[in-house]
Amino acid sequence: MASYKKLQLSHLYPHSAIVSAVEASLELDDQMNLKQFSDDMLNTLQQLQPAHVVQAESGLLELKKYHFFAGWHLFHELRRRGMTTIYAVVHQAPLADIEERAVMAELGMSSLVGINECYQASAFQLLRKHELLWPKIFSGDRPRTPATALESLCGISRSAAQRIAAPITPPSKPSLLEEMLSKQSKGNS
Amino acid sequence: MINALFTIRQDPTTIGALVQRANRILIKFTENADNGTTLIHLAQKHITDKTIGDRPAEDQKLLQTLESLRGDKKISEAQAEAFLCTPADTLELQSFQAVVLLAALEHHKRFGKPERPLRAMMVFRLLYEDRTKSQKRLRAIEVDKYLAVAWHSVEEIVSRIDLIFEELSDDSLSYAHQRLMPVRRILRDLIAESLENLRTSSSSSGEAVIDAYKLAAGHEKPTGSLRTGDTNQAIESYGDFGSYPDVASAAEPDQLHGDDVAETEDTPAYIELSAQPILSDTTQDPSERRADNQTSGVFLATQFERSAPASLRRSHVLSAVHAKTVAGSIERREKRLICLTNRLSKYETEILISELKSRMQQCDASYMLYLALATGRKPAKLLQARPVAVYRDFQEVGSGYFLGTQEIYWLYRQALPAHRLPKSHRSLLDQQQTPVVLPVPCSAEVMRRLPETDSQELELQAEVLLKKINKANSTNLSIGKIADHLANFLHHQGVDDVLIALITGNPDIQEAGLYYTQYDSVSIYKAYQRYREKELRAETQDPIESKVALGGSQLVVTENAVTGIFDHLQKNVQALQGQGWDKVHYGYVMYVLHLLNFTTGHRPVRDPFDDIEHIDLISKKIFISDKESRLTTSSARTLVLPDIAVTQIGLYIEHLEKLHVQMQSLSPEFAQQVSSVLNGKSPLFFLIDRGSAIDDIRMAQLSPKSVVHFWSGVLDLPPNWHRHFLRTYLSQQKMVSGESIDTWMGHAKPGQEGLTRYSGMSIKSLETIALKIEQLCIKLKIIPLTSQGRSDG
Repeated sequence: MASYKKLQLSHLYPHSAIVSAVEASLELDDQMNLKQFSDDMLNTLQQLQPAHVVQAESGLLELKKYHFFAGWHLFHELRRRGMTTIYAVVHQAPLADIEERAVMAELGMSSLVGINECYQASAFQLLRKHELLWPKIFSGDRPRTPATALESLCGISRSAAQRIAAPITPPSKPSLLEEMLSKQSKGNS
Repeated sequence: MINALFTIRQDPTTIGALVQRANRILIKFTENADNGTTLIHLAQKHITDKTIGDRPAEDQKLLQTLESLRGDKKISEAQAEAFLCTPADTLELQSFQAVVLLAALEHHKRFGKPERPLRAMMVFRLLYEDRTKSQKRLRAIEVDKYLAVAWHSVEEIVSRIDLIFEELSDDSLSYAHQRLMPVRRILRDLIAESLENLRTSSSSSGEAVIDAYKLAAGHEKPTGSLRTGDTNQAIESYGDFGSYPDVASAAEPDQLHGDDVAETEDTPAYIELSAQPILSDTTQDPSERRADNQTSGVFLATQFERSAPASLRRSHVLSAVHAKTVAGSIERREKRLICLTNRLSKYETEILISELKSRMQQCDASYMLYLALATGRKPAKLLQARPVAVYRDFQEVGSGYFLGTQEIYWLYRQALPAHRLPKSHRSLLDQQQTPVVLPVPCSAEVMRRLPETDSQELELQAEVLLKKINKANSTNLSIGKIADHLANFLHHQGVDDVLIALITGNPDIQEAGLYYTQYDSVSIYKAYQRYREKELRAETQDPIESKVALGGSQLVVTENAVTGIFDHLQKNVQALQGQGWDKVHYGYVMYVLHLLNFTTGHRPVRDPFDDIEHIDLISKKIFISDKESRLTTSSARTLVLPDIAVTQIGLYIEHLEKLHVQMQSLSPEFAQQVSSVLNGKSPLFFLIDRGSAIDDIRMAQLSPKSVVHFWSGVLDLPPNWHRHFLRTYLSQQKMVSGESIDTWMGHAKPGQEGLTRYSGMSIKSLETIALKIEQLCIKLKIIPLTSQGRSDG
């Protein structure tokens, strides 16, 4: 059983299953361009994509705490605008498959904003890590590799998916300081 | 073991000589059968080597050690060493020296606290030295009369000292108290078998306070003033270490050093005490760090004249008024006002030069006085100079000279940290050690090597000569006035205090600045040229600017290196993107810190730049209080920020605001801490420390050690390299005065602080500095950076 409720944003804490995803999101700089939406639009979006939470265990006198595991991507922007409440689907704990749900929600999010390369990369990592979930995610012909899974999920070309699967990072150029020091070391030897 | 009382590092030969001297003193004591058996037995226990005879070579070595301690101004730190180097020349003094040594060793052995024994050793040395000083000689001899050739017991020594106190009166009694009370105190401790009269004034932690403080009276400081000359009385009358309980209770575990200040005519008596932090971070050269922090804890302890009535001495209100007067006179002295009577007038200068020139050929005293006038050094200091045949031979620190055809070339090299860095860093630094060269005009007939006479003898001759000149011309010349003239002249010409200190060989004028400045020979020459022409009336050629040579600080990095350092910091922020938000924060803090350090000259300290409330981004000003010991207001200053710094701080605040919002999803507690940074309740800069739990995120303090750790494996520069670079850079800029640089660096001495009541400096000077640094940043490609590693705009 689950219920749809309005909750205080300050009562929400990340579930351990999605901490790494939340941490990774801290480095992204408003990739979804949420800043461009009005408050009303953002609220509507949030109501349509509510957070999924479970109630955390707490003492009698403590405030109620909730662990969120999906639908949290708007939180940063809502907080930045000083909004204090959100809509959430409160699941009755304990949920046995909470990690699966968290991953699938993340991938669902990635399929929506799949044109963004940052999300594609994180989606690729999730797909690779959770191959066992593929039957639950894809219908029909199942992908055979994480790259083809990404191709199907985000609707991108094979070559683009392969580029994400095996990124070619150019060797980092040494700084001027390192060049100066190595030049001197060579001179000394 | 006497070694336990040694406080400074010495070479093994010197230590050997000192230990042998201690043994010799004790052996002689045991050989005197008139001494009491208990004392002899006690002395025998402290002798470590009984096979020592008289060794003149070692005596010579000890005298040299004493001189070098005196020359390096380390005598107050090395009281045990100085005590052993002091040669007692009468039987009474030899016996008394043995008693003091024995008592000090036994006291230290029993109680393990070196302060009181060291003080007793110090007063013995002073008692010995007083016999050579005209003012104190008679009193010292008066005390000598009571000393015995042999002593039977500790109680007998104490009762003899008490007898001295009973029989002497007035000034002599006061003197005897100063010189004998510390000895009596350790003897009383030994009799009572406990430390008596320990100061525990403020709290139960009093003993800890006493442990943390060391008080040592030095007697070498050449400047300053004192009317009565008996400043030790003030220290003595307060007892051991609790003399200044307010200071002690408020301070960090610092060391207190007391300096007797020498006499001149126009200022009342005071003792200068300075609180020096015990270094917790060894990321910098300790002597440099000490000099840089020197004004942070300077306290003045005034004393009334002895003739003042007791009611006056007891009044706190009058004491405060008196202290204010003393502070005012120090301020006046530092300002080197033309109107002060202890300055050479034009008339006096002319008379002096003509009188000296007429006598110089035959009279050594006259020759030395001329050199004192021309080099700004007292005769005793002049005699320490080493003659060299050619300029290249002068490689050491200190003074030297060589004779030219029409000029005596006076050479001086300041002792500075060598800053020996790895070979790979050579291209980053511009290390040169050219000495200061003063071409002193002197005719060929007069020119000769300095006389090899005793400095005291020479000073007496000079005083006699000056008396004659004064009488004949109605002048008021004195050696001090003559030696100070060059420094006063240059100060009035607006020459940077660091250059004045170098020209006159007197680091006390601007010690901290000396550590940070790389001088050029042309600037020195130009400053001295004015003096030669105007005061010494000698024609002078203009310097050849292309033949400029550098000397001074050994930690001045090149401009290319600065560009390289900031390029490395920028690339580091870019490389950390995608490796975790905490790593990005770490790299970004390092960039912002280096940029702000570079634009404000902030010292490398813990929690630099305090909090956000210290910065005003609208009027572009920053309040900096960056000394380890933040006891006095003199350690703080307001600076104008260059635009680049303002932009960078704005970007850093944006970063913190973003972190605050994002952290609420991950760790609301940490988000609250970031919020307190934004509200000015926590330090502006912090690092992130992550625990094992997901939301275990804590703030960690940013310290010089963290900066050193950041650079480890890449760059091995002390974290105050930027202050060396900036002091040198600013001193080369036109429109930037020495006064404004000292204010900017936080080096202004008491009485010379900019933007204070009697300062002629305006905020415009700091705006000029900000503009110069802005231009420098543009030249060196230093830019404001966002936390994503992008340049702003």
